[in-house]
Amino acid sequence: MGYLPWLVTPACVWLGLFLLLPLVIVLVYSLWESTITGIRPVWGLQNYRRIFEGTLYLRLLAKSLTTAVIVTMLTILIGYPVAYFVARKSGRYKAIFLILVLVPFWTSFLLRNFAWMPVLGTHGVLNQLLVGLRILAQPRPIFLYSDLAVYIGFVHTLLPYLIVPVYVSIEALDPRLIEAAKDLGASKIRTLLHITIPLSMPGIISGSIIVFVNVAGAYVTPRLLGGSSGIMYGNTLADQFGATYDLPFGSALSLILMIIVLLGIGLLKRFASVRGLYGA
Amino acid sequence: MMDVSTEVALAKQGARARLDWFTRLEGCADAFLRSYSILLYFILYAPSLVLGVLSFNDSFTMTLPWRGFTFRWYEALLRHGDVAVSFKHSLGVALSTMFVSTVLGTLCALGMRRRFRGNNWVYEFMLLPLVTPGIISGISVFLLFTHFTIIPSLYGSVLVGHIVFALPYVFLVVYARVQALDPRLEEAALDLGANEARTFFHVTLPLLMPGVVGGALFAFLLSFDEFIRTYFLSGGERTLPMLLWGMLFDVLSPEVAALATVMLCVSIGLLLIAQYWTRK
Repeated sequence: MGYLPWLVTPACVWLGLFLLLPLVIVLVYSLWESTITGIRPVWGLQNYRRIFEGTLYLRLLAKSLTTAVIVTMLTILIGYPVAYFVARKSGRYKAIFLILVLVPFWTSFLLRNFAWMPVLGTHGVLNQLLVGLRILAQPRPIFLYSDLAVYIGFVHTLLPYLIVPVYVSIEALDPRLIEAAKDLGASKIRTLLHITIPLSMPGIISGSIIVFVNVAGAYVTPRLLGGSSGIMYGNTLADQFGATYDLPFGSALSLILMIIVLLGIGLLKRFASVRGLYGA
Repeated sequence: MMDVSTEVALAKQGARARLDWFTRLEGCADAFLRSYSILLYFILYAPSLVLGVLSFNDSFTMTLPWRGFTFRWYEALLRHGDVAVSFKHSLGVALSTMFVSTVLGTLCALGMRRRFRGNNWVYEFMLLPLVTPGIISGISVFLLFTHFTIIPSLYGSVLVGHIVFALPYVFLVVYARVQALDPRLEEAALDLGANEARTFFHVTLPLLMPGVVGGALFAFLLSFDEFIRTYFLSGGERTLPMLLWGMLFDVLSPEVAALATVMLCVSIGLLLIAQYWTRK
């Protein structure tokens, strides 16, 4: 069966053509220049100079990355207990809880973002509730189109992407390790901190990568929920291919984002293996 | 001085009291975790439920107050010409994505069955689309088509982008199934005189089928709901998510909520079917 490995060729060729080659073209275009007459292949760093010499794009990038880090940490804090619960404490209802967390995972990202608009809007559910409970005198337009809304949108839509990998890694833990810890006298908290969490690190890292990548390159959430002040790197990036139509500049912005995302992933993975050495 | 037996009895009582307190604390912690998780599940679903409720509201805007129950927004959807056209587009692209990515992904998963040099590289490569932000994916393929002056189209650029997106998911689902295959079943078939082709079609493939079907359904789902890549890759034709996006920047009527609810129900229905198949 020596031919077997060759079966991977079609898929690899497809990805090579439609994932790698496009990225190469992005790189090439980022070194070119956009003029009134068209795109000129000047092979220079003018686009990058424009990005790094001003503060606008760097500030947006910093904002996107900080948001990404914060959202990642929030989803871990909020989501880990849920994953732990489903994996180890849900008893007879495990299958139900599992399906219930998979449903958001597989339904439209756009829809789940959009769903917050009638909740946070000026005439939305939240305002109606607060006015009804007499906490507010009148509906306030401060909930939607704000940083708060964007954070809520991110955490809410990305939580399942963290819970599922973490669940898988907790589920895969050998229960005898936990038993051994108990037999040796460890308290529940100690077991959690020193055994369960370190051993579920691969799941935490995988989930974190997905969340981080999604926030760093986000377009939909800030556009729908952020209003005019909620612009993030992804929105400016998208503009270069829409209204502005500066393909070389947009390519430069894209490449920077891609490099940062890859660096971030590398860092997260390195963090995992170091922890692995230390904790194991 | 107390006799030994009384001292022991008292010590045991103290130990038992401490144990009871500890056990009760653990019980409290478990109950707390359960409540927390259930609350979180509710928050995960609440906005979508709000959308569902508002789609039946007999009011001209997608807000409260509740003015009565009506089906008219769903009727309006049926009469809305754009909706039918976009639905057809989404369906066509999703089906095509399903076929191509299932074939590519299954072949690749089969090829990965035994270790070979570069095995790990192929695996990481297949997962690369997962860590590429949606906008980068869309933009890079857009550039590819633009560079070679190929006009963006539904069954061209959009389809290509969707297949790249869905491929890792199909691959992972089928790969898990491939790994779980018992080689002895195929060996038995070969021992009984079947040649390799016969073994493949009558033993291997049927065993893999539930995973392949499940993966195919996931690919369909992913393509049907996909927005951000489609946004950059489409020519003039719109898929259902794109149509929805266009409606979000106008005055929101419950018709939008109805469309969202229908899309959610379709996704959930397909997901349950896919889950059923992957668990067979």
